[in-house]
Parts: sequence; structure tokens; C-alpha cells
Amino acid sequence: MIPTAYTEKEKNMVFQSEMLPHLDSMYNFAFRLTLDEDDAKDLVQDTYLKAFRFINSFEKGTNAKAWLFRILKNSFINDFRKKSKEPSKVDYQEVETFYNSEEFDNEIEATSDLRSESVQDLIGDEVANAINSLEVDFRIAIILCDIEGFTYEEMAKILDIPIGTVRSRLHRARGLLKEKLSSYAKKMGYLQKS
Amino acid sequence: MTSDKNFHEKNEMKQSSDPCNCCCLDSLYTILDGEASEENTEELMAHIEKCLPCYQQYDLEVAIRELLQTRLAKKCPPQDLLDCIREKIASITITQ
Ligand SMILES: [Zn+2]
Repeated sequence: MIPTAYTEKEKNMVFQSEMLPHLDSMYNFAFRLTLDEDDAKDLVQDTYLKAFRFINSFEKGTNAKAWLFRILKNSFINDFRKKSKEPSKVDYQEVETFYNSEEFDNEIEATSDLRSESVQDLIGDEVANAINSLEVDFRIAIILCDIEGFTYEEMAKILDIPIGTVRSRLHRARGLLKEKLSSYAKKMGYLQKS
Repeated sequence: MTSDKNFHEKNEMKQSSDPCNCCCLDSLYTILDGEASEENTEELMAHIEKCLPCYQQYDLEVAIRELLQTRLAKKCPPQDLLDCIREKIASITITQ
């Protein structure tokens, strides 16, 4: 990528008009990752400072939101996740071989009784808990695609992974989310125990 | 539903709770994510209308998407966040 040489004035203008309008989405993304309001605030601040410092690597006319999300995600992985004791997340081998595994059959079994009517009865807290309980890489995949509406190509850039991996990660994440939703639905008595 | 006859035939053939083998979840996701070609979308949607397991799968995926978009509370960033960012940027700009 050819860096753009912005003048100081242009730098500020690009930052104001292209970066700051995404503050709401950025904060929500940060909160879904850190699950803590103070950490989310710090993470968003960090991200914006980095964005300003490296604004020359932002190509005008490209997707600023995707660019910012990528910086935020990297800051989270490199700075925040190190601090926490969470073990390393997605095992890529596991993701790639997932389709042939027994786990896949179990997943179908676990969610085959989940119906759209029982999903519609779930409340916000249950949905939030289901998402938050996913491992962070799966959580990110769902947020980027289903909540923020990024394309596979944008997700590939944000996550630095090939599109095929975006697909398989999404597939796995959605299966896990369905399992969680299904267990909530069961707990709340929306589903008959089979 | 455009073709009731077909729908019922399939329904008798397959219990509604059977996992669907006639089209995979991956192509369903590709369509719901807006990543499929128009041709593939039309083809699969025509199939979904005729096949109960596929239709239920589709219906569930749509419901989950709606759930994520409507039930998940959006957080408001703290009021001073924007000011904090602006201040820090200003101080960087001055010291440079
Ligand atoms: Zn089918």
C-alpha cells in the first residue's frame, strides 16, 4: 500500500470526518471484546490515537470503519488479551478439520430442536450472555458479520485471515451460538426437553 | 409458499426434525450474508420454499440474525470519551 502524505490540516480533516463518526460502533465493539466499560473506553482511546498516528496508511476513499476495527482488534489482541489470563483462543487446525469431526454431528443434534419461535422469545440479556460466552475469536466473527454487517472480504482484512477461514470461523461461531441459545431456550422452558 | 403440492410431498418424505442433507448450511450462510451470486440465491430460495427442513433452517437463521440486531442493547460511549480523544490528539499535534 502506498502511504498517503497528508498535510497536518488534511490529517485533522480526515480524522474528523472519517474516523470520529465511528465512535459509537467502536465503543460497542470494544465493550463486546473487553466486557468492561473502563477497558472499552481505554481501548477505544488507544485505537484512535494509533489511528491518528498512522493515518498516512489510511487510503482515502477506502472503508475507514474496517480500517479502525482492524486497529482496535489488533490492540485488543496485543495489549489487552495479554493482560488477562484467557488461554489462546481458536485452534486453527481445529477449525479447518471441523467439518469431518464428530463434534459437527453433535452440534446438529444439539440445535436441531431449536426453532425460530423459541428464539424469538429470548430476551436481550440471554442473547448478550450467549454471545459473551463465546471464545473471543468466534465472538468477533459474529459481531463483524451479523451485527456490523461487514462483508467476508472486509472481515478477511480486519482479521488478517483468508476468506475461506472467515467462512469456516463464522460457520463454527454460529453453530456454537445456536447451542448456547438452545440451552437458554431449554432453561426458560421454551423448548420441550427431548 | 408457491408450490404447496411439492411442499407436502417433501414433508411426508422427511420428518421436519431431520437435519437437512439437500443443501448445506454453508450455502445458506453465503446467501444470508449477501455473498452469493444472484443465480445461486434464486436457485436456493426456490429450493427452500419446497423443502421443510431447509425452510426451518432458513427461518431459524433469519430469526437469530434479527435477534442479534434488535435485542442486543447498544451501549452509549461515555460522554467524555470524544473530548478525551480530541484533547490527546491536540496535545500530540502541538508537541510534534
Ligand atoms: Zn432442503
